Amino acid sequence: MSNGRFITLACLVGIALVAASTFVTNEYYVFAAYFVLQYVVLATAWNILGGYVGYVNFGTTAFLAIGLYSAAALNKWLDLPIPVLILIAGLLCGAVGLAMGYLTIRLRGVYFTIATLALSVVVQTFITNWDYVGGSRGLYVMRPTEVPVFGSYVAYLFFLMTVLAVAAVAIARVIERSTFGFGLAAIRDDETAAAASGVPVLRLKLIAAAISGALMGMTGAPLPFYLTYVEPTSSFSLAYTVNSVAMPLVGGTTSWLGPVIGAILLGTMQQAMTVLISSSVNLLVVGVLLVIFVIAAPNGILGLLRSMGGKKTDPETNPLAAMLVTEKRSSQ
Amino acid sequence: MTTEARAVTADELILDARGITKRFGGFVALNNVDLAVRPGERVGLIGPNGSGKSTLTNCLCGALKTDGGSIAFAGRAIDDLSSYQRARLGLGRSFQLPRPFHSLTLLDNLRIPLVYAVNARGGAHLTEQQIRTRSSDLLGEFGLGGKLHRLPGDLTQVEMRKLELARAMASDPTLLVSDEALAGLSHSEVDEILALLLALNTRGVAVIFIEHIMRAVMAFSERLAVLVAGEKIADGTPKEVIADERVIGAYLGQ
Amino acid sequence: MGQSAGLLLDSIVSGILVGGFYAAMAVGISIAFGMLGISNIAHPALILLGSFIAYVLNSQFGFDPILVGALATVPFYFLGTLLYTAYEFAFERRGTQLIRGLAFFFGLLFITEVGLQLIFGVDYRLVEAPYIGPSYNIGPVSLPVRMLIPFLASVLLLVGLQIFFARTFTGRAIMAVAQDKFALQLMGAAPVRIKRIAFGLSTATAAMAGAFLIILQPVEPSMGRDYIGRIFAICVLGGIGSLPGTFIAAVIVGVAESITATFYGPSWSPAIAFGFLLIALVVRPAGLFGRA
Repeated sequence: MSNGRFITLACLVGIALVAASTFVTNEYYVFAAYFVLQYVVLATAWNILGGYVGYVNFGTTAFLAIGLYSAAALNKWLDLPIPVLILIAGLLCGAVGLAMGYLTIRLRGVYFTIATLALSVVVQTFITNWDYVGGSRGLYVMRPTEVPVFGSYVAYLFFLMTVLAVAAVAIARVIERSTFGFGLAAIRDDETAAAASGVPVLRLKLIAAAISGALMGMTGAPLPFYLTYVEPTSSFSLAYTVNSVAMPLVGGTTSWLGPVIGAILLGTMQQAMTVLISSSVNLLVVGVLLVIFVIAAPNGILGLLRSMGGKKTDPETNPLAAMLVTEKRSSQ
Repeated sequence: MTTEARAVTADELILDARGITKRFGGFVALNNVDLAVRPGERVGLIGPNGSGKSTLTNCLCGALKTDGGSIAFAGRAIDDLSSYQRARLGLGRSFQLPRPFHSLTLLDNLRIPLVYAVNARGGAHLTEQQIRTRSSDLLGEFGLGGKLHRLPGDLTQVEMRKLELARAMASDPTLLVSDEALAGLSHSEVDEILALLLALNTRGVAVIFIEHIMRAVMAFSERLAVLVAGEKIADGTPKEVIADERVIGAYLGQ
Repeated sequence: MGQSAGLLLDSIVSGILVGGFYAAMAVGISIAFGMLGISNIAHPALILLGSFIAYVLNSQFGFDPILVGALATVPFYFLGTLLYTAYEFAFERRGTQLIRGLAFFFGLLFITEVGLQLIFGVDYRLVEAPYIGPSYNIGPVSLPVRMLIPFLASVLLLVGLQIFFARTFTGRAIMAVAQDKFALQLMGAAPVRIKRIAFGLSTATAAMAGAFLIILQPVEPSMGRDYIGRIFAICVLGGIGSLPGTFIAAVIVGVAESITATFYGPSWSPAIAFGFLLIALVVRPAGLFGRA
């Protein structure tokens, strides 16, 4: 399937989602769907650097928070429409991703990971000390005065998040099939051999880091307007980091489909568990699933499907399998 | 008695490495090593394990920074260039232990150098169709034509070696550094790979042939250099070099 | 002595005392990451686990926390060997990517933190002991005993470990593993067994560090994350795998944080360690004392 057709299909899915949301009367379902869509973006963004390149970011929360608080601060200062805030958050976090990458990516991969862990703490420190956004007390957010086309403000935000999710998945898919994506795979598989084949390793890693960071930041920007009250403890929740790592690893890291599967499965599971049991237990389950999958099913659900299907999932004999499971790697 | 290579002007050399020195902490891995390669020449490089051959390869190809000396490729100083830039200039490399891109098909393994070395070089730009054709043609030459869409994990040892060489050749190098491509292969497999390398050489690709298997070295090399404990102790025609007492004492006698 | 000079001196001394304790926290990573190359980011959570064990035994039975810490080193050692066996089986043997090992430890960090939260809630817990409270005073400098004791114990711990690594056969074997696996095989010792012992040691230090932590200050489950940056910054700065380097780096970080806290407020401390980490990574990844 060509990129153009894929994007069209993704847009159609997005439109269907938004349309469906306007008919749903119970706002909780819309909230749950927003939650899952958010994770589709975060998991996809994480995977661009984690799955495609092999650089592990444990600081998703930091990027999301930068996006969140920059939107909140800018909103307090100027009255900008949310899409503009989203774009600004994207640029800002893209720059942060670039900077983090530049400082650490020349070293062993693990140093990047350590730096991202520390980043979360540092960003939280800065935000907690920044009175303009309420410091540790939190901030009440006034929604911008623009008049949304949709019935309610929540519907408008849902629409924006759907757009973001469709965009993220489209970007991931386009990257996968592009020269850039093949370069990333080469780097992930063997960086030295990639360099010896002419791949500009540092440059490609930095681009991936920037894209990944930007998408994460963009996810954070609508949050202040959704919640109308932001404060550091929940904004810097470890849940964002754990989920953005677990979802691609559970779903499968080699293709755009993995993070989506992971986000839908784990996201829905968590929503159900929060309602049925409690919210801390559901995070524990995510952590346990992460460890189990990492040990027993390193290629995630996609990998399991591939190995269970045998001949049926052999791309050379089954075009459907080629499309779904080994989509990015088939040379049709 | 050692024989130095016939003196040539710098312009004529595809590779002109002078005074290469590399230290790891207090340990001197390479001490003032010179290596000159003429276009299309087949230069063998031998020496005991730990003599610095791999270090030299890494320095030439840009994986390591030297602590002294200069390297010129096709008349141009490349000391400040990183690995990928040297690859784009035409310095190809095959690794001792094959390092395929294990999540990519064989076809796509070759796509990488075709896109990132050949296309990035400027000059003729290969279209998608040309990339596939060239990739499958090259793989076919190496006897891998039937496995274009397989992953490297499905290959035998020899086939991995062939893939390694095919990928190195896909970047269209003018100089190929072949690092122990024959290690661990059977007699007939050695002949197979040697034949492929010779075929490549007839296309004008210079080869630095690092090996331990002496019959292959003697059959392949036009010139032979010997590295022992980080120093080049001999450099001349194969016949001269293997008769050199110092070489016999340091390496061949073992 | 002028007031701010006195304040400075006091804050430096305080920083040194805390720094010693930081060294006890970091030494586990120095062993696991520095010598074995294992990125055990779950280490801070294990330290918290040690703190909570000390809390439980202290609040229920009145045991002295340092005693608990010392005793806990034994089960922690075995926990470490168990973890290493799992890690080695799942990852090192198969030679899989870095991402899996990191995700594994991250999962452990997370499970431990959430587990502690579910059991103990998010409130701060503290221990009671006769030395928490009193403090010696020398001029403007105060030496709270609750900081002095962990400092001294940390120094002892590090000196003990250094002797172990330099003098005993097992210790030297571990150092050898850190340098070159092949050399070790030539010596006849099995690398996996040696690594398992080393990792067990690394986890055992967490038991003691946990006890020190809860003596120094009240703890709550999510605190572990605050220390990750500090600990790795100290290890990188001090030179991967060098115990004396780790100690000196820990003191440097401790003093820097203390001075910042005194003159600019305590909420900036986590940023200090991160700043050090960045500087360390950019300027000298091998650390002040590490091998180039």
